[in-house]
Amino acid sequence: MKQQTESDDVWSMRESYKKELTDIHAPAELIERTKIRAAAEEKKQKRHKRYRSVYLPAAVAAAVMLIVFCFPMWNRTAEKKGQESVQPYLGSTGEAPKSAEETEKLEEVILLQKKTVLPMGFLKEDAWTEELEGIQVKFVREGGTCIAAYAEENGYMVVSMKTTDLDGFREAVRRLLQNGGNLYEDRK
Amino acid sequence: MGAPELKTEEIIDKYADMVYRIAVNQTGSREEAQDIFQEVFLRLVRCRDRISGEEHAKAWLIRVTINCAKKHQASFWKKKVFLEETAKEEPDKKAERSYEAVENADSPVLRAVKELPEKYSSVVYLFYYEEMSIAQIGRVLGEKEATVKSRLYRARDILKIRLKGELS
Repeated sequence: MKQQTESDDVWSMRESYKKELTDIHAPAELIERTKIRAAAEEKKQKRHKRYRSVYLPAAVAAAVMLIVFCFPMWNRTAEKKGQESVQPYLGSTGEAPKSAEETEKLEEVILLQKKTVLPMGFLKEDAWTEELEGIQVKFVREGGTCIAAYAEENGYMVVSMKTTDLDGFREAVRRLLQNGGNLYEDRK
Repeated sequence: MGAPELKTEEIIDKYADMVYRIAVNQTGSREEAQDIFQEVFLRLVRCRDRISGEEHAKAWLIRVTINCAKKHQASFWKKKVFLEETAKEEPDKKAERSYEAVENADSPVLRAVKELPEKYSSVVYLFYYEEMSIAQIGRVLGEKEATVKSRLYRARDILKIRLKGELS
């Protein structure tokens, strides 16, 4: 059909073109080389598919589990660290508190207050004065609490501790004075 | 029979000449055709899941080969080499250089087709060598039938002028 509708020139051109192209063949060496590369590529693709279908979901699942299980733990650790960061430390001669429980105990028992005048409680009859680390310290007991006060610049430092152990309290105040009244010195 | 059912080696054996011819037809260079040949079949391996049926595979190979050739022709490396070579070449050699592919002085039509703009040479190949219909060419190239028709018409006119006297 095409032959009938096309001019002789076109027909002749077409036949020549077909013949010229038909004479062109892909070199055998190129075909072999391509087959080898294609086989290698196929292997790579298979490995990639296996990775995507098996290893990738497994890795994602492991990551999710890690996050699910470890996140609350990290949270708790952070809370503990938060507590440790604000707790006071008493004295420089003793060992620094190691655990949160230990520091929690200290935090419960020691209270420091700066007062411009000596609190009225120290004027009671049962109040007494002792010299600790060369400083005159006034003591008084109120219920289950031991309270001490010593003069500082522009007022008094009042130390209170919920304890009946006077010796322990005295020791705590001594350590405080040794440390120059600074609870946090060893933490820095 | 779908393409995935054919082994890659079988597809290469079956379509090797076709891919190579298209590459030579489009680039005019056997060296470039070899690069394109390998690239096309490696792409086939990567895209095999998306190809269904032998007809689809053939159409896919034709289209990808034409696109690869186009990309190759436009690549920076090719342009750079071309510029450097043409700057050094003597005028006579410049004229011959574009025919290097064909290497054979008995291929006047192929040389003339190679000299056509790429959009014309692919249409000529598909129509005259693969004997595809205008509609089929339109589908393979993703062009409208009217566009294919007009390209074929223009290509034929250009070839007639260029080959005047060469074809008895």
